[in-house]
Amino acid sequence: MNEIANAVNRNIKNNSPNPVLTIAKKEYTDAVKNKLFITLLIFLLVLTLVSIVVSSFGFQGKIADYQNSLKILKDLGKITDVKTPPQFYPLQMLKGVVNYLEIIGAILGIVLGYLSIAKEKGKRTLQLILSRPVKRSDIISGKILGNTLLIFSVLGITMLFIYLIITGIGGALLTSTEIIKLLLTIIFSYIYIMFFFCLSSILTLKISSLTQALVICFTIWLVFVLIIPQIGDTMDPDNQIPGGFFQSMNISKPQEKEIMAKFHTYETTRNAVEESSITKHYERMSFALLGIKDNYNGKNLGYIFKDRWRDSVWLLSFLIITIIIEYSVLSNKNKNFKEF
Amino acid sequence: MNKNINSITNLKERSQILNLQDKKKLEEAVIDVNGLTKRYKDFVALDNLNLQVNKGEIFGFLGHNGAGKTTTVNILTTLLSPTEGSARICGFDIGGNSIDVRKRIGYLPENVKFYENLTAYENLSFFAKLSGIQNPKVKIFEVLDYLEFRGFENKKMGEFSKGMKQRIGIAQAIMHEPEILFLDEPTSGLDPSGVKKLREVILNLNREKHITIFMNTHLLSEVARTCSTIGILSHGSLIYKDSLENTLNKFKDETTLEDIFLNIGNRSKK
Repeated sequence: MNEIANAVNRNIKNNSPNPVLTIAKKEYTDAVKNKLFITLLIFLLVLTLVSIVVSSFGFQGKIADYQNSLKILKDLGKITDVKTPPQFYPLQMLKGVVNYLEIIGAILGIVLGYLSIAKEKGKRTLQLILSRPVKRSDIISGKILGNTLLIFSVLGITMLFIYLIITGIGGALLTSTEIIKLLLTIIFSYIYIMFFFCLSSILTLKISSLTQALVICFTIWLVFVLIIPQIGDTMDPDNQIPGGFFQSMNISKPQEKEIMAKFHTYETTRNAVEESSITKHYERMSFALLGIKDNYNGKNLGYIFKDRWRDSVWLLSFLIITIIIEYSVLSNKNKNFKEF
Repeated sequence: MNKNINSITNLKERSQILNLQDKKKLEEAVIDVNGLTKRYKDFVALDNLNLQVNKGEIFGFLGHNGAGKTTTVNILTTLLSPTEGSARICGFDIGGNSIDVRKRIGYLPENVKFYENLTAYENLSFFAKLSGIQNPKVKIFEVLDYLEFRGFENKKMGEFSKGMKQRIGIAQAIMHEPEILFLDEPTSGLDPSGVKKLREVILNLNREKHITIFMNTHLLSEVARTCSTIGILSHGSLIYKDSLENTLNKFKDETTLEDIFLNIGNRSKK
């Protein structure tokens, strides 16, 4: 047996290439050559551009309305009633981008997660990888690392695109705090997309039929991303009228709180529905960071995190749980790899 | 040890020599399977399989579809855990020393398609790195030269024919110079010229690189042309194992290996 061991040691030195990095690199290279991935990336960039253009037209509309009101008031001689002009907050222009990331980002995560396992299953390459001197946990680590780089690349390209539009075309300069808030939004977007990546790869690993796995993935996407947040929004009385129900009725914040206190059970139920969806947590966190919700606009990070810490914890918990499940699923050696 | 065993009358001495011979035989057995059983709920895929394959053999593992051949290979290549029993590959236990086992084996599953967006070189480089090869580029070209397959390395795998993919499959399986090569239905789906080329490759690997080959197949014609030893698996149990030469001598009345296979199969049913 020593002869065999020596022969192997001649070829395989101790400082051999790291399998996690090797798998990560392959995942990245393989995905960027995938037409479906490239199509999704282009689609996301086009939607980002459309969303910012629509937001800028909306802001131009607000300015035009303000100018008209100002002119009318001046004509009427009521110059003292003039309100302050609408303020331009560049990050608020990203509301549409966050909404698109909620939908397209989740699809991107599902597609990447599905492909990362389905291509191995269908082509039997997982058997080849598992027959190499590689730990099962290295395979998952490599896949997670490779797709992390891929998702950050997608988000990085999207955010760079946004930055160029806002500063280059819009002429608005971002402050260092705004840049940090943008970077934090990238991190939360990554957590959100990665959750769907893990969820989809777990289901593709567990379910023998690839078609069935994909159908279940998209059913979950439909429930988490579209149905639950929609139910939550529909149950929110303040969402029923543009600009907010209470504001349009000239009801002050203390009065609003007093009214809502009478609907405690209803509000608890509505909140529980919303909190069961990772999409809602992502939306709340991103809207707070980007100042899309007016009460967070211009506020420092300490204030935002103090108020929204639960959303960040929920987002992280969703991701950590799926990662743990993914490791345990592939580590199960009783899984019949004949299926792969 | 040079004494003729039949000339030894002392039972103790005879027993000791026989034990030594057994040990030597075991040392030569690079695949040593003992009581391997695999159950999926009520279904028994492998039933108390005992098998030894010696160094340098080309072992043809025959059996009808669903006999348990692929399950055996999956267990021996450490992809799957047995329900009961044990197996040692090159002296390493498949359960406790799976990484050591994997360092010493090459494996080509049935109908492997590789990453079709990547080139042949990128695919080979990936598996070479996973096998711990220090300088993949040199090794890849060395293996491609050996397989007479240079000039295709920059082509995408998606553009390859089945036969070409099998050659890349063999290349990935032998790059790290394994002691044993596991092939699962290697000629499945190949055209006659592809089968012929692959057969030559298998024979050359065994003769020139002294690789022990464990080949799952249901093609008896391939076994007759390639293998030195055959084993027949039926319903998860090994019903026959001997050298090809002995098998052909034992079944002189049968004209083809197909007839021998059916004969053995019928005997086991009785």
